[in-house]
Amino acid sequence: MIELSVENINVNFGDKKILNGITESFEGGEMTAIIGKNGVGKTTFIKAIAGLTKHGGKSRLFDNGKLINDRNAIAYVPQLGALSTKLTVFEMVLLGLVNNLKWHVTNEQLQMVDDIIKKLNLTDISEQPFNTLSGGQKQLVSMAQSLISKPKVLLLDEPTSALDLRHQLIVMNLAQEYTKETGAVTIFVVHDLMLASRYGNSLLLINDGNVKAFDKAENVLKPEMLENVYGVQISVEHTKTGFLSAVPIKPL
Amino acid sequence: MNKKINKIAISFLFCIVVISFVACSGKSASSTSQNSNELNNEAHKSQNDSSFPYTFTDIAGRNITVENKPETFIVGNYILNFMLIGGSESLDKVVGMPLDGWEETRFGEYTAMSASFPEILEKTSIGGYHDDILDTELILKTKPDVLLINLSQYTENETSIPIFEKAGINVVVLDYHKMKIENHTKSTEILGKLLGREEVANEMINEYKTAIETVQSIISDSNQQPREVYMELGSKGIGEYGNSYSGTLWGSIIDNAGGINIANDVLDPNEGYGPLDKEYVISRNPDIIIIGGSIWTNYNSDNDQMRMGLTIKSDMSHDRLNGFMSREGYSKLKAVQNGEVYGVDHGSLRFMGDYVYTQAIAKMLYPSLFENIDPQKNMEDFYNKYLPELDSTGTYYIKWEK
Amino acid sequence: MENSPNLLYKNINRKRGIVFAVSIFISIAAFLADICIGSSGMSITDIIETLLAGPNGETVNTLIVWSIRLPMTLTCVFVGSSLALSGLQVQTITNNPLASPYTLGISAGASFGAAISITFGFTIAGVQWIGTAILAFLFAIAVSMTIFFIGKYRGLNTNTLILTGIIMNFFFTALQQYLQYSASAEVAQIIQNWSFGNLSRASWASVWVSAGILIIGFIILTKFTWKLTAITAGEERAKSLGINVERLRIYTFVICAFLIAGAVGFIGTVAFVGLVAPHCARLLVGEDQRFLIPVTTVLGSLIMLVAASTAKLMSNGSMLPVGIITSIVGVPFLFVLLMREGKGK
Repeated sequence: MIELSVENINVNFGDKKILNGITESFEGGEMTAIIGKNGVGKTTFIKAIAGLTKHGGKSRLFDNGKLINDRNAIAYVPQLGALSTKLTVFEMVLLGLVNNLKWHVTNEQLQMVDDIIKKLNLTDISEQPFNTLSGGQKQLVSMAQSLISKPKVLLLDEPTSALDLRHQLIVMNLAQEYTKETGAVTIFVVHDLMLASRYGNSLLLINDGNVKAFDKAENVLKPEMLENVYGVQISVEHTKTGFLSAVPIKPL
Repeated sequence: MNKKINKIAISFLFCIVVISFVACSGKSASSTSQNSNELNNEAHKSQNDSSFPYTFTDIAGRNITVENKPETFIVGNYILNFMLIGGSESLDKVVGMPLDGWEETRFGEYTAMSASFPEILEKTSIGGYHDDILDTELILKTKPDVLLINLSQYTENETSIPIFEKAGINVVVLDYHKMKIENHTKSTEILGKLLGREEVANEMINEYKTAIETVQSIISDSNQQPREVYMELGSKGIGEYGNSYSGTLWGSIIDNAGGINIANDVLDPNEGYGPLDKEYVISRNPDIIIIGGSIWTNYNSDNDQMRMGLTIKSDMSHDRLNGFMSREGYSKLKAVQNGEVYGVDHGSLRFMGDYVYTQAIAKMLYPSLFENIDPQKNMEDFYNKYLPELDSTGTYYIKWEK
Repeated sequence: MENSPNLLYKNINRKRGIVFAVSIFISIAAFLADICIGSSGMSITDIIETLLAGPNGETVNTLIVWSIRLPMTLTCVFVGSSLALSGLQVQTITNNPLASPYTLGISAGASFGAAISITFGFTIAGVQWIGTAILAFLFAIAVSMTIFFIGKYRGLNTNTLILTGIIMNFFFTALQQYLQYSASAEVAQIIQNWSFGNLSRASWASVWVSAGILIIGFIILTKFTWKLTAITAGEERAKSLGINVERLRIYTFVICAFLIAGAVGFIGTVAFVGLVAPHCARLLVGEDQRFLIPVTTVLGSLIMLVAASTAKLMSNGSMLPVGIITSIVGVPFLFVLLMREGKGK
């Protein structure tokens, strides 16, 4: 049983307070969606967990109650940016093992790459340069790069932004599958409230550096709460397929 | 991807093949100089001169011993001084000199010398006249007894000097560029010894020293007030002011001849050169204006630069000087109103005849004291005395005619 | 199993190995061709005999081959390699395809250092060229560090870097012009000559120093291969993979500064080798630094050798500076690159 516990995480950029001390606990095998307005510190929060941002407070990872101090146990998948690398898909995925790579790459390492590429159906494009891929393919390769090292915590920064509907589902299903299979803690930042409720076992709503709510989707996606946070009139409905849908009506 | 690799590989290979081909076929022309080299070596053995071994310190302060009288020279610089001291036959001893860029940099010298001594153009070119870079390999191959270079060539090729010495080539550094009497005389003395023409060299040195001492003693004996001089190199034409000199070249000549150089107040007094401000020149209202000429670009070009020196007809010099005097505001200047405007040859500096310009400028400053001096004639006489075979027709000194 | 990614990858790497072998082979050919070219017109058999006879002979041929051609050709190899390797790594750590010793103004800094030494007669043990090399060296390192720290505070993105390079170039060119302006005509000529890289300044000392720096730099850099490769996959990603990007950058930049200084300190500014070689290498073997580092290094020496041979063939008496050749070829290359980069954004 994996558990990630954060205590009083706070981050300042100069004089500006970004996070005001967040204390929460995340359970393995579950996915948490982080939602909130632009600039409230969603990305900062998961970067702090990944150790990529200077922060105060503690973030600790336990496996069956045992403290784990391995930085490689946490994988952070950055948002897809303008990345023009000509590394091939195979090489990109291989780089996920960068800390263990020597001049000579071992057969086991190659086999690991091989396995994950096949699993993610990237075989046909394995020798294509990364910069020639579509957004969805790039995201999958990014995920593969992170998953190859079998992380215990998977942090996804807006994994579905700029992807078409089909790839949104493929990417999120992949994360869900991995979480269930390995019992990892998965936290993803997302703007789309539908995806948040569809994949998040619970939703963490951040507003102005504080946790506004951390609960099941039906308890977070409440019109009054969202209107307050997002400044829009919003209608929350249950769909016929059993999902929760938040439809924005107009800005307030 | 594969195709691309092939394409690139093929083009690289192609380059290599082309280069190797040209390398193997191209360079056979220089073998002719080798034969004459061997002939000279034969002559070398039979020579025996009492003044050798000759031990001396060159201008770079290096101690050198030349064991036997040298028979072959590479003249990295100062070919004219070399021949003035050695006479026309000394050209036979020259097995190499920088020919690249000679015509472009010193058109007058090039034209006059190649007309009077056509064989000079057949010497092996061992470097560029315009830069100081020597072709080390070709010099080694030519293997002269002595390699003569100047100070800047010495600095630029410092790493090659030990290689030359290892090959048994005596490297001797001369200097006429700094326009110092001691460097002029010492370089001449060295050339005189190496060429076995000590008498000529001594005569030349005496002539040089006497001329300058005479000028200075005449001036110091008189109690005339010194006058102000503006000297400009007419290399940029009428529209833009060319360089003035302070403490070097024309600057030091003006100082030696007892004039007040207006450039001394604005340029670095040691080795300064650079154009003076138009306004400054006009406000100083100098007593005398000197425009230095030469042939900087191709002879036939129709520009407004000052033209002086070897091969130049005086009509042209006068014509160009007129142009300079038509500059805005010049008609108000003392010098122009009094007709105290002169043209001198920049190309005639840096050799043993340049004492003529100390005389010339003294004459400009103190006309009454040096009435009998004729710089144009003195320069011609100098050439005729030491190198009569050279067609030294040219214009070395003019006084402006309104 | 035909198209298993694993096998495809191994296959591609095999091809890259072949490319490397071929480029080594071509470079050796170019090396030999360069030794055979020279103004004295020695025959190839003479050259081979002299080479085999060793450096201790007394003949002129021995001097020509062992004291002039070999140092020149070897300097060519090491200078080209150093410039190419430093160009590659500067591009890698700045993630900027237009970065190179020349475009960043590091060469201009070195050139100014040399100009100072020439103007003020800075000598070491009475020898001018050592003083010149050392000042050029120090300036190359100082400029690299300045660029690095500017980059650190302003972010090492394309615009900042290229603009910093332009500023450095302007600044040092201006300072150098000032020195040239105030120096005597003869000294100005020497300064001028220094700003075109010229192999006639090569000596065994330049061979040993540039070779030493190259070998040490090469060995250290090969220890970082995977980390450097990871940086090409994006800074944030590299960080998230657990790489200390800042520290890697500093190490690499220091190594590059030494490589550049060792290259330009002796023979003067040679432009664009550091830009052209890494790009050609990338086209040939991709971004994996295990292949990219060796192939770039070899291509750098190849480009220099070809340029030097061309310069020798074009010269007659005076020696055409090799830096002029690389510039003439390099500028159009930079232009094409710039156009392509512009389109990509």
